[in-house]
Amino acid sequence: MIKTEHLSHFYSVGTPFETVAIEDINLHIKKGEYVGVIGHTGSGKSTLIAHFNAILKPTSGKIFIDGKDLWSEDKKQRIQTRFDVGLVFQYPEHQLFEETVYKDIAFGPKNMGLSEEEIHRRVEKAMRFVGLSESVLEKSPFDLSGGQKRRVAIAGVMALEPKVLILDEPAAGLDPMGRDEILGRIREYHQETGSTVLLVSHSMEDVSKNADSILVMNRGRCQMHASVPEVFERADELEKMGLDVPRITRVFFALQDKGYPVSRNVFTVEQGKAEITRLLKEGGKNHA
Amino acid sequence: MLKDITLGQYFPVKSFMHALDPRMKLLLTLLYVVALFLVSDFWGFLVAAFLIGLVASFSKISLKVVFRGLKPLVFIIMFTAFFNVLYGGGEPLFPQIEWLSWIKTDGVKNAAFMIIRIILLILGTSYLTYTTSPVMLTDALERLMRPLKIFRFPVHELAMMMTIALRFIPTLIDETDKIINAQKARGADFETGNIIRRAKALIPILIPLLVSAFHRAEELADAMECRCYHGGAGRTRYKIYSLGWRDWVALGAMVLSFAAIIMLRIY
Amino acid sequence: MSTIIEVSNLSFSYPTEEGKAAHRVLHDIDLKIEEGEFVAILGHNGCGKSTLAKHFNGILKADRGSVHVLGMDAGDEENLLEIRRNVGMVFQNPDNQIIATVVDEDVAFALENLGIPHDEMARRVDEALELVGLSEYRQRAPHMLSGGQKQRVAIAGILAMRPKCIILDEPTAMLDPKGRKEVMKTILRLNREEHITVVLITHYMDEAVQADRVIVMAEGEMILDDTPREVFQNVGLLHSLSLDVPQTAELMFALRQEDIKVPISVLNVDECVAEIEKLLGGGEND
Repeated sequence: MIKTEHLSHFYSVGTPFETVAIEDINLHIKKGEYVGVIGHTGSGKSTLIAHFNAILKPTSGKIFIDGKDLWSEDKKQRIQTRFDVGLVFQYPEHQLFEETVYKDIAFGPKNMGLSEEEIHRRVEKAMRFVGLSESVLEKSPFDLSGGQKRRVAIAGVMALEPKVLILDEPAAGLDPMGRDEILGRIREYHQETGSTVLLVSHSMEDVSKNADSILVMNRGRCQMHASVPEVFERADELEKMGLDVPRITRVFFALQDKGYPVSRNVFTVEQGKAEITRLLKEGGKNHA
Repeated sequence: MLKDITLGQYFPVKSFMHALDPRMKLLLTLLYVVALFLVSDFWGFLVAAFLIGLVASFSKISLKVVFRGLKPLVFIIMFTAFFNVLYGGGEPLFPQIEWLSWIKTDGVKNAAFMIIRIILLILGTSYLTYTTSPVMLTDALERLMRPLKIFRFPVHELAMMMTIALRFIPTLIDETDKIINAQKARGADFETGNIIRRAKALIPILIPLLVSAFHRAEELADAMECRCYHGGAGRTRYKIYSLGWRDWVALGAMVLSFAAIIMLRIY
Repeated sequence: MSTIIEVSNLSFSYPTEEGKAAHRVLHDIDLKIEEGEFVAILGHNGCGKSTLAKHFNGILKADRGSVHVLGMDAGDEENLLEIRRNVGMVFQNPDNQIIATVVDEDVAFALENLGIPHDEMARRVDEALELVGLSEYRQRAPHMLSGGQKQRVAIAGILAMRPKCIILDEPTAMLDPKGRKEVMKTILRLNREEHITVVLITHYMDEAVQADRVIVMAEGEMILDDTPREVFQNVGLLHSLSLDVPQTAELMFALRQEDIKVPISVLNVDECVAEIEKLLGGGEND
C-alpha cells in the first residue's frame, strides 16, 4: 500500500542550518496492515508521515501509494492521492471551524466534489465510526467536550474514506477513558473497513494493544519494522533509544531471566494472567 | 512557508551599535529624523549620509543588506517622486525639447531631495530595528514614555500588550502552519480560483486561529494572575539599562552632526 | 508541620447562560494538605479536579464553604497576593503560561510584579533556574525549547517566588516521554530536597504512584484519599471510574479474580516479579 525507496528529507537545504530529518527510509506497508509508529520527539516520525500525503516533498527518494509514484504525477493526480491517504494531525480539534458538526465533517467530502447524497452518507458513516450520536450533528463543534471535539475532527478525515488512515497521537492530552474510547473506535474502523492504519504514538502500551506491527524511528532512520513480539524482543535496543517496553512485558522478561519458563511475548494484562495460570497448572501437574 | 517572514527584522550579533542602551538609540533615531527634516541642501544630506555610514560600520550589518530592504518600497518612492516633478515649479529643465517641458528645475530638485530624504529615513530607522530586539524597543518605549503616566496614559498596559504580542507571534505562526496543513489534508485548496474564492478559502484557517488565540489568552490571563500580576503599580524591573561610555560617544556624534545641519541651514 | 491548604465544605458551580440550570462541579469537599506532602489528584476529565485546584490559590472563589491557605481566607481579596506568592500554579500547556521572550526574564516576571528589588531578583532567578536545571538556557527564546524544557521554565517562574506549595495541573499531558521524565524528576526533587509541598493533577499512574498520597475524584466528590498502595488496591472501583491502574497492580487483581492468592498492593515491576516468584516457588514446594 505504501512503499518508500531511499526516502530522505533535509530541512533548510543549501543553508548552514541544513539538517537531516529522515534519511534513506525503505518501507513496505501492506494493505490492511495496522502499524504502530514509535519514536521520540525529533526522531523523524512526523516528517515521515507528512510525506505520505504529499504535504512534504522528499529531498530525494520515492514514495509509492497503491503502486503510484506520488511525485511523478501531475498536481491534480496528487491531490486525488491526498484523499487516498487521510492524515489526522496532533490535536486535530484545533482545525474545526464550521458552524455545525455536520458541516465540519462534510468539509473534506465537499472538497472532493461529491454529490449531496454521497456527502450525507459519508458523514453519517463517519459519525458512526467515531461513536457520535445524531443529536450533536446540528450543534456547534465549539460547544462539545474536548473528547467529542477530537472525535468530530477524526470523523472529518474518515469521511474522505481514505485507503490509508494515519493518526498522529490521536489520544494525546485525553484522560484514560477518552483514550480507550478513541483507540477502540479506530480499532473497529480498521477491522470493519479493512483499510491500512498508521498510529503514531509515544505509548508502547497503546501500540502493543492495537497494532499488528511496529515501526521504530530513531534519529531520522527506520530502525525496526516488524511484528509486535519481534520488536519487543529487542527491548535492550529500545531502551537505548530512550523507548520503553510495557511494564508487564518487563515483568515477564525478568521472570525468564531468573530461569522461569515463561513466554517473552506478554504485552497485555490478559496475556500475563493466562501465562501465569498456565504455569501454575503445569507446575501442579509436574509435582502430581 | 510562513516561518520565512522575519518579523521585526532583528539581527542578533554583537557590535557597538547593539551594545548601546535602547533608550539612547531611540532618542538618537528621533533626533536623526528631526535633523533630516531640517536639512535644506545637499551638504546637509551629506552629513546625514556620513552618520549612516558610521552606524553601518559600527553595527556589523552591511549597507547592502539594508538597501535590499528598500526594494519593496522602490515603487512608492518613484511614484511620489514623479508627482513631485509633475507639480513642481521653476524653469523647464530641457527648454529645447517641447514634450519634456513639464519637467521643471524646482520639481526635479524637490523630487531628488525627497528621494534622498526617504532613503536616509528608512536606512536610519532600519538600523534601529536591526540592532535592537523588539523586546528592548518595547522596554525602551515604556521607560521613555513614563512621564506620560501623569496624563493617565496607559504606558505600562500598552507595553505589556506589545510584549505579549511579540512573545506569541512565533507561536501563532507555528499554529497557522499546522492548521494550513490540516485543512490541506482535508482537500482544502488555497491556490486556485479568483480573489473571492481565495478569500473564502481562508475561513477554515482564520476561524481556528481566532478560537485558539482566545483560548490562549484566557489561559495566559490565569497564568499571569497566578504569578501575582496586578497591573503596573509597584512593579520593579529585572532588566536594568545603564548608560555607558558608548552611549555618550554616540550622543556626542549625533549632537555634532545635528549642530552641523543647523549651521548649514542658517548659513 | 503546619497546614498549607484547608478546604471545608466547598461547593462550586460555574455561572451558566440564562435559563440553564447551573452545573454543580464540586460538592462539599473537605480536604487538608499539610506542609511537605506530595499529593496526586486523579479523576477523569470533567470530574472537577482542575476546578478544585483553582480554589487553592484564589483563581476561583467558593460558592459555599471556605478555603484557607496558610490560615488566610482565600475568599478575601486582600489576601490574594500573599496566597499566590505562597501557592504557585503550573498549567498543562507550556506555551500559554510563558510571558517573556527570554527565559530569565520570564522567570523574573512574578518577582517584578511583587516589586522585589533588582539584586534580590537576580539572585532568585539564578537560584530558580539552577533548581530546574536550566541555567545554561537563561538567554534562550522560550519558543525554541522542547516541551519539557518549557514546562521547567514555567516551574522556575513559580519557584522564583519561593512558594511553600506548587500546584501542577496535568503538567505532563502535552509532553513526550522524555519531557515527562524531566518534569517528574524536577517535581520529585522539589518535594524531597527543597521540601516544597506538591499537588499534582495527572492521568498518568506511574506519576501518581510516586506521591505520598493519592486523591481520586469523580463527579465533583472525593472518592478515595489514601496512600498510593491502598488506593491502587481498588482496581475494580478505579476501572469503573475509567481510570488507569498500573499494569502490575492490574495483573495481581486479575490473578486474584482467578482465586490465585497474591497480595493486591503491588506497584512496581520488581515487587511484581518477587510476588510471582513466590507464587511459582510456593507451588513447587507443595
